[in-house]
Amino acid sequence: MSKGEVKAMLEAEINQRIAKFESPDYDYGQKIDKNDYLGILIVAILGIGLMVWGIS
Amino acid sequence: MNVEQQANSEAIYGIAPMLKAERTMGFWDITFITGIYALAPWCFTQGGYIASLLGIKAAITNILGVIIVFSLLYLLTVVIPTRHGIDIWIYQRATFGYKGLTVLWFIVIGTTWGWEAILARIYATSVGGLITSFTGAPVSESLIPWLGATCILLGGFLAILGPDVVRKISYIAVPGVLFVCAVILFVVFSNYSIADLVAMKPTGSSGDFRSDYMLATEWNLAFVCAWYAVLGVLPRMVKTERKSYWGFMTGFGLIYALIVCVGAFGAIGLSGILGVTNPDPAAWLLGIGGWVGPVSLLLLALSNISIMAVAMYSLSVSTKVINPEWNYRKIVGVWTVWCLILNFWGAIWTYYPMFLAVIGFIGGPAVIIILADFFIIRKQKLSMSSMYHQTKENAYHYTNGFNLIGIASLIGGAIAYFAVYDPINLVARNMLFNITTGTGLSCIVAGLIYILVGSTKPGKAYLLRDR
Repeated sequence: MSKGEVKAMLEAEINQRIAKFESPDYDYGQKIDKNDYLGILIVAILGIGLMVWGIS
Repeated sequence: MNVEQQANSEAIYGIAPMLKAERTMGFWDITFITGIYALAPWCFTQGGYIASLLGIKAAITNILGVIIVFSLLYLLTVVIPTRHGIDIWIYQRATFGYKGLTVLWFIVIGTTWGWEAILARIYATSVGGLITSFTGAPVSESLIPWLGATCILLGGFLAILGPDVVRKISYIAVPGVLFVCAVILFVVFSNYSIADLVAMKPTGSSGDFRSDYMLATEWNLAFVCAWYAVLGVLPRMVKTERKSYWGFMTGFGLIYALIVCVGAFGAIGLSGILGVTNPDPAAWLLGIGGWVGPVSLLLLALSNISIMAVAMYSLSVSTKVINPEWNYRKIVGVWTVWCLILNFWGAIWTYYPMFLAVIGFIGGPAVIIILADFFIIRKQKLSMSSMYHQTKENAYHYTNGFNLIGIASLIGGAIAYFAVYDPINLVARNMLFNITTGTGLSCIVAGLIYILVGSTKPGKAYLLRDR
């Protein structure tokens, strides 16, 4: 595959995919939500608690 | 398909945004793959350094606490590639401009090879240990870089053979490192109880526990930042953000921390058993003796070659992402030479904490800027076409291809880092280090500059041209 062919193939592929992403009906799927943030908070508290215990 | 075609295909696959329907990975898939990445032998070195500074109780809790808690924030970055199907190195065109990104990319990837130089060193000492166990004579220190060079050359050769060979050889790495972990834990816990280990004094303590503790915290924060270069490729392939984030947390956070803990047990326990005070796992395994020691050394050496091949292949394909027209074999050749230079230079092993400093003051602030940009400034909305079309009218062209706010924030973070921490002498420059650490402060300063400047009217006009 020549350098020009690689570039042309890449551009065509990217443009085709961008068009799909920018279409209004593209489904991004479920985003992280408050349950994940709650999980992050709980793990953070446990981690910090572990560190405090470690230096006690 | 030949190797060049496969590399082209993977580079194209790596650059083009991945659609939701093409994603194949679930939680367990991404946990397994990131877990394999986390099983790197340099984790033993990190654990050895931390344990020699703090003693086992504070070391284990510091490793688990700092790595997991900082990863909770750091790994939020994977939400961006999972949602939009783009590599984080494509997204950073928005935070640093496409020219600024290229400069940053070369600095980061060039530095990332330091981990492979450490790998070559562990390989060399493993092979040296094997030679010693058979001949009884210690291997000269001057021979170590030459042994390390064979690991790099073999890794480069395997990478040139292509992804199929690399994938097959990677199957050696996981059981090899797991076997070494099992041997270390077995030897340590068959000689000591937990109480004995807790009672052991750290060999590298300065006498000031608070300073040592914050120094260890700094090193562990920087250790998390080592993921910066590889955060973009894998999350694009995961089906949902939740699976991606928690999968990464399990592999790059929890498993990573646990392997570092094995290193800490090895350093403390085996130093007591063998009288060896060395962060190099090969030195511990050499002292075990019997058949277990040499077999462990052999597996460690083979694991290092396979991890080197995986790194050579993946970082070379990543390099093609910067310019797909570059020849894959030539890229592997250039990186092999660079890795050999780092190996013979030897400074990364000798000044390991200083190497961690470089990782910390670049990888910490850069990721915080990405998070600030995506979640706070851009409010999770971006222009996909501006990400890819690099014309002057492009929203992310900024000032001749450089996002001055992003770059100023990064420089501000680096200045803050060096204002509180001297990574050459490994000492705090002032009391602020004992509260924030160097990497912590650089993240705070870089994030604040980006958010505060980006929230002003001219800042919004500059950053949000994609609206």
